[in-house]
Amino acid sequence: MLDSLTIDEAAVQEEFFTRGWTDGLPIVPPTPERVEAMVDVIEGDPETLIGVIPARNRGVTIEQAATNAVMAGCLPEYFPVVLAALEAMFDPAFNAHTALSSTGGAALCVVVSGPIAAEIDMNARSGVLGPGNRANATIGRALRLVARNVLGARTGEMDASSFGHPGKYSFTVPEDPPPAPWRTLAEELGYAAGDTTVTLLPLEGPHQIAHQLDGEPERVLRTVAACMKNPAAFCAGKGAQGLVMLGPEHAWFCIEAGWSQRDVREFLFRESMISVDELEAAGVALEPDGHHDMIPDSDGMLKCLGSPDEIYLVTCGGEGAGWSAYAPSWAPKIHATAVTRRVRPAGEPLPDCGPDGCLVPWAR
Amino acid sequence: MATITVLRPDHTESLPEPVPLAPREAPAEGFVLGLIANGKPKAKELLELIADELRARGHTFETELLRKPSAGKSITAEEATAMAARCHLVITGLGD
Repeated sequence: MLDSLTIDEAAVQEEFFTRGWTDGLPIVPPTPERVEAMVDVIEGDPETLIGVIPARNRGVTIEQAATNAVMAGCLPEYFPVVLAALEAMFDPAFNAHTALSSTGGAALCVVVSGPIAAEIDMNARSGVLGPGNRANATIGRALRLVARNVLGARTGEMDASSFGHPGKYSFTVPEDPPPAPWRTLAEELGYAAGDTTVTLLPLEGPHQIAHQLDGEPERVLRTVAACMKNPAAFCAGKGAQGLVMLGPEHAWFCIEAGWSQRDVREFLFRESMISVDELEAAGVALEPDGHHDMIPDSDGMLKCLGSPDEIYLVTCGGEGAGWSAYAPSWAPKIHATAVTRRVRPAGEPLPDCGPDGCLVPWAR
Repeated sequence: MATITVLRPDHTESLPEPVPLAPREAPAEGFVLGLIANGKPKAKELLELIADELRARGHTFETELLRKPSAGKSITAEEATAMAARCHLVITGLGD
């Protein structure tokens, strides 16, 4: 069991603030009973390592994750989702060491696709990115508290964010399953119908997209693409990933016109390319000799998204005048990539931690 | 006064033992200076300026340059071993 401390109950919040164990908001005190209830849901050994970050020589156990999930305000039934997100974070492709420390200040965005999102009462509709839903608010917060408390991702230590953004408190996006024939993100990524997945993306803050005066798919999606090719974004012209959150009207215009999700992603990929002149007009120079591929094609165009497959497309949000949202990756794909993991039902054993974890000596 | 017992949510491992510094020795014949550019724009040029400055101060050496594909990723264990085998001193840096 983790180390514990016994303190005046009335002073517990101040104690946690003083020790730097919170994100600046009050927490639920992680009593052994609450942590045990969290661990019991997944029927795992609390000492089991979920994964490690070799460059930090630090890892996270199930018990540490559960402790921080309790503090975040998670109910025990949310914990399998938190666990899947942490497994994704420890995949070397995600490159958590950099995603947590870069001056770019990425959030850990948790996209939940599949039936568990509704089963734990996540809100995928009106106000999906805003406050008011416990699961939405606390699942993402649990990840950030783990990063802060266990992995050292604190300002002044191993989080060098120049600005960061509010999504670093919590950034959870449950998918509202789209109308047929569109499929859920989990199915689009090759998982079975009925599976729930978590896709973890290191993202800048989301930007709302307004398109409200007509329902032509091309015009709607050009508006979305205009947001995706913002020359001021770090990834402009460098080929990155991004999360497109289509609101119900915008998604329906596409579905009704017979567009597949692949059609939408291919259109957005093409339309989000940016010209050298557009970058130059915004004062953005091409990197002459850096690690980013900023070589224009024969038409003088550069990719903002690496390929149609680098666009993660989900449906969510509420009805209204016609809104969608977009959040780009904080860095091009050579630095970090989105990772998806299936949420395991209670009792299903943990997989092997993989070469990243197994190659690193760990002494407790 | 009611008390409450809570689990520590933080990392509590002690820091690893510091690695001893390599011995400081006078440059030998055939000295090789390693340069690891972190992949950021102008990183290679900055390191080469340092090498030029050292030469201007009368030091004689060859350089061996390794360019990382991404500032966000460490060099591999194989690359580190190879640099250690070939170079007498390695200069690198971190930052924007």
